[in-house]
Amino acid sequence: MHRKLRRALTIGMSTLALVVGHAAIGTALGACDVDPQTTTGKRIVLHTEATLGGTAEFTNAFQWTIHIDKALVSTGPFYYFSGAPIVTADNRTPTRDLNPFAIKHAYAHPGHYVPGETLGEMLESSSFDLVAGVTPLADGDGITGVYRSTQFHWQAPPTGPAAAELGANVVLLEGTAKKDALIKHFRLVGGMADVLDPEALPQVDGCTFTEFDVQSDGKVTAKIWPSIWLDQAEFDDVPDSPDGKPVDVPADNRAAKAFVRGLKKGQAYTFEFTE
Amino acid sequence: MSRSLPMLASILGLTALSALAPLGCDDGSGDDASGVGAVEFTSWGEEYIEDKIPAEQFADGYSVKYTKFLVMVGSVEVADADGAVAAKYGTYTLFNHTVAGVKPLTSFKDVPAKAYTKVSYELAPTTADKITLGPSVTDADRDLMVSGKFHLYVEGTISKAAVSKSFKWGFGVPTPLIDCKGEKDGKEVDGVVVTNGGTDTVQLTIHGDHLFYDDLQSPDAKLRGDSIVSADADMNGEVTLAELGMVSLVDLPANQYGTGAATAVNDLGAFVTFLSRTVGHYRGEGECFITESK
Repeated sequence: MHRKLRRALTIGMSTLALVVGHAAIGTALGACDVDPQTTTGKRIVLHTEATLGGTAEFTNAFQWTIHIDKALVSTGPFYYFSGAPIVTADNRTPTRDLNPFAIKHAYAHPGHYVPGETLGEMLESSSFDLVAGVTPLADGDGITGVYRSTQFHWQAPPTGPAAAELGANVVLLEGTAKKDALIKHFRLVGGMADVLDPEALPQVDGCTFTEFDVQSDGKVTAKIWPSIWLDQAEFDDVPDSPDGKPVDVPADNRAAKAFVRGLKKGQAYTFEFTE
Repeated sequence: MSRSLPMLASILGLTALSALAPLGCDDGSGDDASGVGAVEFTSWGEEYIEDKIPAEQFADGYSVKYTKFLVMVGSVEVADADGAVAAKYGTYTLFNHTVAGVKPLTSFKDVPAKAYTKVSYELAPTTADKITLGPSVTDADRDLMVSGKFHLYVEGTISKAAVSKSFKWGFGVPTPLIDCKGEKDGKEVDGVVVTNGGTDTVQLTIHGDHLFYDDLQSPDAKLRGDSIVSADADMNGEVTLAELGMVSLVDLPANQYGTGAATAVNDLGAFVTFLSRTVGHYRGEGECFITESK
């Protein structure tokens, strides 16, 4: 109840957290802000890389065995926060095995995500093929503290190595889906309009950053999970390929709709820190 | 959000940090207090449950009238920052929050005066021997909750113009709520503050509108009824949880029923079940964290 008030409070708290967090990155914190358990507020460098989450072949919730041949993405900034992602629903998830990071958070605010303090950021945009291997991204910066969640941004128009092939899209996926005797060669694309959040921003809030008390420079690895994007995709109605080459899946096809919904799932973007 | 803030953040952040400096470092623990006081816990379902959720609150013009809203509230703990438990209510009270008014849950007397920043409670299924019946709650209500292993059971109607569907939904997911905080006397307070001779009264507030949110994560979630009403597959006038479970989120508009980082929520039944865990609040609009176990 009183949603406007609650929203105002939430936004207020989030804004305050961002204000203090951003200020903290560039400003030495006062004595009152020092966590007695850890050293919070020291500037650090966050080397960054992106890679495929899981494997290029997986089985989705509808028993389609999917092999990804190409997974181009156009990414924007990543922002790291102290707030935990929202709690998981239960333990029945078929995606639990696909994405073990999705269930490790013990607690979160009920019903909505509160980012908490801003602890770090990586601001450079890029584009790359997840299947091609690990892609180094620009260094980010941050402050020491306990990292728990990330805001992932898409970038349009794309920049970087895969920009030309992506064109106006921010994501392009090619592969093969097999189930019994059916074989579907597909190409799925997502444009900016397909990745907007409820506030019409091209970002995914509340992604899991595997909780880590970051106290020194290190590396952030972003894992992007096509297996989550396609977990609810049914390929029965995808047109057959006459020549074994990928077929563009129409936007109104259920597989394409499932893919677009999957692009907005926070569990499809996980982040880890290593020293 | 973040993209437009850095410059403003830097300015305001410096201002904020500067402003903090002369205030000193009060940790709010209240450890220097002495004597004893009391803590009382109540529960309330607000007007949305007692009366109705009016059409203007819904993005698509529906309204909801609950005729039964049974919720199991209990396992209250009051602990200090170190986790030392000062007071505990280990059982549950079953409330029907369609019954008007704020209802007493439990109270603790002679609690040493200090700040207790770790307050938790649960909405959870339990056994009959651990249930106290709230005002106007019947033995049949209790039996329903026990046999169904429910933490929440609601009955009501969702309506717009000539369209009206009934629903009877039971949810059984243990939901511990920890580290509760909320506004008291205009200031956000972690847990409770016991003063010498005083009483801190805490309302565990139940939000009945949450079951109709169209997003699991966004603070901008809207109340919607269309997809729920349309789930009445057999067109018998009642929307069941099983029918909701047959509605894949893939078939709903892409800008509605977002699941954020939640896992295993792929149909409307799972979506509403997830929301059933979010109804518990603290001192009105205050919040706790959901955890899997206390």
